[in-house]
Amino acid sequence: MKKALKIIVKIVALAALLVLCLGLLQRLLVPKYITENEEGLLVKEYYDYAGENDVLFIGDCEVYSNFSPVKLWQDFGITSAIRGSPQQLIWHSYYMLEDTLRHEKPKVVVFNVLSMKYGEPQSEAYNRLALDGMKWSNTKVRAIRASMTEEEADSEGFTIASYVFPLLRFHSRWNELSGEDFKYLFSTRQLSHNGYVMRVDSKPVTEIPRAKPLADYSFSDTCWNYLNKIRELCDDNGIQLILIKAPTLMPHWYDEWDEQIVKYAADNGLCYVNMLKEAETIGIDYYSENADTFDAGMHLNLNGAEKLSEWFGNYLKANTALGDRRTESHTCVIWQEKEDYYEEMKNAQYTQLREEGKLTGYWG
Amino acid sequence: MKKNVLKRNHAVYALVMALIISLSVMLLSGCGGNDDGRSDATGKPASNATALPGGATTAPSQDDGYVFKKGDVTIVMNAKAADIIAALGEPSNYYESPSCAFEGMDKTYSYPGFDVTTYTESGVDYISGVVFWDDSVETPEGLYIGASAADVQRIYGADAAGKTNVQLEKGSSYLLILLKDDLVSSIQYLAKN
Repeated sequence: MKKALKIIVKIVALAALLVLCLGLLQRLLVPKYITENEEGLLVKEYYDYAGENDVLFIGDCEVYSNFSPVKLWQDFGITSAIRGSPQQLIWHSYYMLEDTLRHEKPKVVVFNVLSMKYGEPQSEAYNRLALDGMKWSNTKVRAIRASMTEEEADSEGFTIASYVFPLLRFHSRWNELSGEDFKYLFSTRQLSHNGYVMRVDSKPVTEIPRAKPLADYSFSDTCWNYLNKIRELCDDNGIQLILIKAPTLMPHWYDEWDEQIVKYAADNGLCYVNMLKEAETIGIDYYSENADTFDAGMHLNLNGAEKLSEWFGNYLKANTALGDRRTESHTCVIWQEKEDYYEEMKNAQYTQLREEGKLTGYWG
Repeated sequence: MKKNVLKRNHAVYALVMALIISLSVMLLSGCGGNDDGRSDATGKPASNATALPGGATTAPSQDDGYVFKKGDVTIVMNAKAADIIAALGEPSNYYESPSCAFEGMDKTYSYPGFDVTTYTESGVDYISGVVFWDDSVETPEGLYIGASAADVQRIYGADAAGKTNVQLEKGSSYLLILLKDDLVSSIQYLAKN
């Protein structure tokens, strides 16, 4: 009996050792997103600032590069968070919203409509950036199933398993490991400011390619279905949904697309604002040496994001019932920390820009 | 007796260690490492590349498809772009747009009457499309902007009458013909992913 117990203890200990080894191996091999593809940190970071955000932005880089929650706080006392990820497709956005509601209930959800142009999953890599960082829940499982590319769906079981055990996906990185993988084995760096990814440099627009005509301008049924689901989820939770198109010049936003969103918003009693049409009022400078964009019109830089946030803060004040929370001492303390980090990163980036002539990383 | 127990214990340890080593070897190198030098592990595929866990990476294909010819230069979809762009000469305009997160640029080179677009995969640019802008250029088969739906039928054998678009597929390419009032309004070559 005693002998059998000893054997069981040994087997359990060895199994634990095996799990520990595999766990360490997994931590080592999963990308750390510190020196490249940094946006891979965004979805996971959300859980650090979840709770008590009155406004939630969902969408792709057109939200996480263009809106500054810190500016909205400083100028309007609006608490906000961005759940963005690169090339976030509309089903990602829907599940981001669903996941968010497990942690907090914003009063206003702002959805950027650019992703309506994509009716099918585009890339496994972008799926990873959107979903790997999401906490496990039924929502995540359904998000994975909805997001699979054709190739991923062909091996659905393996795909889901690879989200449970990312080691299965990233095992072949063993010959690409760098110092970063060891340095950030048990820690990471904070990239965003409540989801906003800061860039202070400028690259003006010099040329915009002609937009080629499309065979069909209608959005896919899949996209309409998810837009309806976002609207219904907001309705069910008493959340006001606002549709936006951020004022970035590329990718091209066709008038035919805009008309469909205008009609949808009107039919469903939603606010929709195409900020491309408001760019002059907002004061966005696309063309001068110190332009408000860091990549010739695709994303806004810090100046641009702050101008846009100031304009949008006024829009929110005029079109929602959001209050000014700068009278809440507890909230002020929380946001003071965010402002401090915002200033720290801003100064670091400007310093690097001044000393080296270019930015090599978000942390300066 | 004691010796036998020790031997048995050593055998169990050896078995477990062998299991751990086998698992590690399998996980690290066994299934799905790319042998073409392209990295999928950090999730970097460009828009036209597909990197799958435990699987192969699909290389751009450029088998016989629709091609556009400008002078002596033949533009093949999914072909490496460098030589083609060099042969076409200085573009009148050039635009590059980085992807949201991954390395690589989508590039647009404008020439009189047409644009050539490229995508990047593993640091190499490939042709992703050609768009005609006016009737100063035509397909090698003789279709141009302003031609009739009957011309589309005659040249490509596709019924275009009363339609707004016709998409033809051949090899690794599509030829997209847009029509307005039975006249060709746009011609686009597109690379198949």
